[in-house]
Amino acid sequence: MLDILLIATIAIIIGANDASNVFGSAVGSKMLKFKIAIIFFIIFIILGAVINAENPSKVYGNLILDYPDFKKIFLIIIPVVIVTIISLKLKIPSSISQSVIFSLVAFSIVEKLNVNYELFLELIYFWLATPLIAFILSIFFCWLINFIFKVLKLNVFQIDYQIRLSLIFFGCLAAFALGAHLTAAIVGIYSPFLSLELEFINLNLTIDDKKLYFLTSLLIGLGAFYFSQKIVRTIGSQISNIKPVPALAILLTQILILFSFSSNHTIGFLNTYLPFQIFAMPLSASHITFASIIGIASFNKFREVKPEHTIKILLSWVLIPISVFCCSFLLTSIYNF
Amino acid sequence: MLKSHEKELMTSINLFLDNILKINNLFKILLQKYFDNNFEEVQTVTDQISNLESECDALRRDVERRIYSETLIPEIRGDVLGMLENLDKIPGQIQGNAHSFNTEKPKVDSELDQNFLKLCDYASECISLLIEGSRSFFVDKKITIKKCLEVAKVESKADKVSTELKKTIFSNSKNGLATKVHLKYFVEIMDEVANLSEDVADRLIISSSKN
Repeated sequence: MLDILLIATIAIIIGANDASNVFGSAVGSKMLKFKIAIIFFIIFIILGAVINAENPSKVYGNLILDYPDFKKIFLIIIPVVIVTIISLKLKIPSSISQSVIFSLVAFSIVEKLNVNYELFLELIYFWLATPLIAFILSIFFCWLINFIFKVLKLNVFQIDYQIRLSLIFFGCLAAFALGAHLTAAIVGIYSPFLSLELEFINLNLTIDDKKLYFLTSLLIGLGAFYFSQKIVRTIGSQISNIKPVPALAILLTQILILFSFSSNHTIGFLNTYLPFQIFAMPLSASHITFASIIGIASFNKFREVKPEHTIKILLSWVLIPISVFCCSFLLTSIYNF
Repeated sequence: MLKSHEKELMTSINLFLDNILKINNLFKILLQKYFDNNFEEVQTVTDQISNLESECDALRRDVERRIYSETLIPEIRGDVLGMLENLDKIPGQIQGNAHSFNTEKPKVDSELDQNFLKLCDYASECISLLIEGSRSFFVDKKITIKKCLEVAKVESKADKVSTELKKTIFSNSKNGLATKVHLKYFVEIMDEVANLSEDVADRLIISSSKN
């Protein structure tokens, strides 16, 4: 029961925040009605989760060689929920996947479980590399989109039409790619237990991994449906204030990076060309989005970037995992004590 | 559906710009007919200008309403609306000038005819350049900036002609002060067309540079 509540809480929080990153620009500029955007978001996030979430979810099983007892998983999730809610209050985007993995490692240290530190280091390398890749790719995509419009000599109304269509189409693709990562980040930790026996209001539910991904992504969708509009209005999406062409470039960057680390076909294809091997892992969509925004801002020599806010977010990339690690370490120690 | 709307809008904007050019050409014809003392034709051309000006107003309102109701071009909506509203002042000014010539019938000395026509030509060139720049605003803003900078150059030529005209008017001892002031008024309203074009061009340069 506690596990279900924790999963639901975290999924709803994520849904409320991440829907605006995908369709924020299209809805903000009134190119797409909010309810239609959310329906697209729910459909594609579920599809992405059911089709691809199992790939990045495998990281958890590979990271902890002797996997923890199912009944103690809540000790890993609670610190993540606490830190995510605090970061949300401070209006700082946080990465659920990173938080879960740092919490899992702290838990494993206390529980004296066998951790694959080589894989853990690789994950950290990729988490550091993906924002850098996003920074470069967003600049490239922004330049490419402008170049295409210039070559085609389209007028502003034609460009507006093409951008509207692209924001909807790529928004759906981004939701699909995001579905795998967000779901893997939230419930990937349960994936080694293929048949979960969950107790819910005196009912015994047997949930396999596909059902788990489906239900979690549905909760993410519901979080988006009920709360994201309010969040976009009160907090404001980082993307919704960005002009349509950069917004499209950011979406393309998200899609390319998220697909590259979730779809087995894409990973296989990239590994034949890359000098190093990549593998499926849950990535932080918020870090990719933020790095893309900074990439786009570099076009205007960072004039539109608020230094205080940027420093706060960059610091949070270090402080949030450390906080989760410490919180999880303490909680598990107290529980064992 | 969205695509047909976008085509309709561009057609309406092009029609609006074409009408301004037509009004511009009609005013040149009007002035020529006026100096030929063909006042019947002046009346006909004035009516044509009035009709086209009303059409321009209707087109502008329709385009503005559609851009807002369909929430199109969010990035440059304000600039496009500003451009259309400022451009619409030009046919209004020309219509006013045509009515003034038609109703007040100023007594223009024959030696001033050529300078009046020259002033009209420069104002007309300003409008043509401005319309080219405005059309480019929707496709290539570099061309807009180039054309709008040319407007400023032609406008200063118009200013020189206008100053020359005023000097000639006031140095003429045959005319009384009332006639001189009346003629000066006509020089100023004709020069105002070039000035308005320059103002719109300046706003367009800023909008193009910003985007």
